[in-house]
Amino acid sequence: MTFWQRIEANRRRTVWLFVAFYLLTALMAWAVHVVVEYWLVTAGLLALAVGTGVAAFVADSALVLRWVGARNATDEEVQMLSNVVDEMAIAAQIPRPNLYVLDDEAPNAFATGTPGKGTVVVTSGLLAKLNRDELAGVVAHEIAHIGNHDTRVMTVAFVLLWAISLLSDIAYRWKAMESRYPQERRRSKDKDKGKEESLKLIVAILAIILAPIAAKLLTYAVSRRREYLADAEAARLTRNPRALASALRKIALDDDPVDTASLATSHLFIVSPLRPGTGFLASRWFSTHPPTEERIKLLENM
Amino acid sequence: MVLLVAIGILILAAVVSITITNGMSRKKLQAENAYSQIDVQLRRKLSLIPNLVEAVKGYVKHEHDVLVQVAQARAAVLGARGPADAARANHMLTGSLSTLFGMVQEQYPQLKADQQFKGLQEELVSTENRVTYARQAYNDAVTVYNIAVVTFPGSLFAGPKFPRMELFDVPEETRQQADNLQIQM
Repeated sequence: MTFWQRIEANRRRTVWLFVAFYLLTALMAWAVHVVVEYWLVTAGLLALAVGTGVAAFVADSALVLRWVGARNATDEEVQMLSNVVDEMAIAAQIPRPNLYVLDDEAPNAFATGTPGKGTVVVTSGLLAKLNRDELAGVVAHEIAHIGNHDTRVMTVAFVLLWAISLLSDIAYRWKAMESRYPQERRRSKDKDKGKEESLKLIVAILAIILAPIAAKLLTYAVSRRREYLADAEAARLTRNPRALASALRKIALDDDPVDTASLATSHLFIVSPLRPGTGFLASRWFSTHPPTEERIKLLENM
Repeated sequence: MVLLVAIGILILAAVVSITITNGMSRKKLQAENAYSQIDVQLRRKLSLIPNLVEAVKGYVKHEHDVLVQVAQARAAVLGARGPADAARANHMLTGSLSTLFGMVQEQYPQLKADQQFKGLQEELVSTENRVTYARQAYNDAVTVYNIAVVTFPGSLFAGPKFPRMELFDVPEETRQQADNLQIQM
């Protein structure tokens, strides 16, 4: 497949993932309603969940830079890097993003923001270990994230994940409280209706238990999809997918982990900065990034 | 009833054709905007050239014709009309600049390790890249627009308002001519 087709395919897949995500949120709202039985309470809870999610993550993304300890890059220090960022911004037709350097031996990079307000952060290890073409590939990948509004895409995914988890938690507690005081339960007057009601209740409780896990899987899937998309876009911008492939190989093979990375920021980096864990939770379904080998293979065939 | 259906079809046709022509206008504007980016980058390149030439002039006293070539090519870019013409002139300029730098490097190999010369070379590479990437963005935008103009349904509305646009590209014979001038940097 050419990078044009890959870009299209990844965009389409993201749309479907979000359709699934919204359906899941709707299912969750329904389940909460079945348990809670007051529309107003359900609506209030939904608003609360989404509202706090938005507030938390808007505040959060502004803090990311200070959090990881990046500093503004000086021009003499990074003449080549600064030039490469200019060039890629021209190729992507977006305003030049801010450039920060993170003093860390591990080669890695990440980006936040949207066109016009974007920031690219590169570790000093990346500068030392990559050549110009590889650097251009990495910067193109980061600028593609900015051009695709990926910070916003991921924020929406995280807000939905947050909302679903919060609703699940509240509904679960509500149910637990209710079963302690069973006499307060309304309805279920005749027997047939009671049967139907209890079936509904079982489905709702299953949804309440399983939806947060499904939401988490969806969030990871969106994140992986946006990584593939940024890779394909980087190929479009540089017309040199092999350089990015070779950069990814260098980054993945490097031994130094990023000191300042945490689970909350790992989805931002070009290659996941966390050391892979073991067991089920380390499988690709629970990863913010696709396997690097897979990305390299796709890039080399573009 | 028939009248209502007829009116409905007319309104639908109007909405569809407005949507299509709007889409084509947007693509045309995007391509034109991308062209102005090439213009910005070309101007940046032209304004840098006197400094670049000044920096290496001391090394090429006996090679005046390459300096003349650079100056001529620079003037040609300034006077270029239209994308194809500008592309040709820019290609000549790039060729003469790399001839100049290649010549200097050949005669003074020790410059390869010189920090200042390295910085100068990085600026030259980046300047060329900027033009190349601006050109790539323009050519992509023009291709998207041209496809919209020549394929159905856009082809129905093509005409003087939506002419096919020219790529910023160098014809083969000019390219060979310029490549013959170049010395590998």
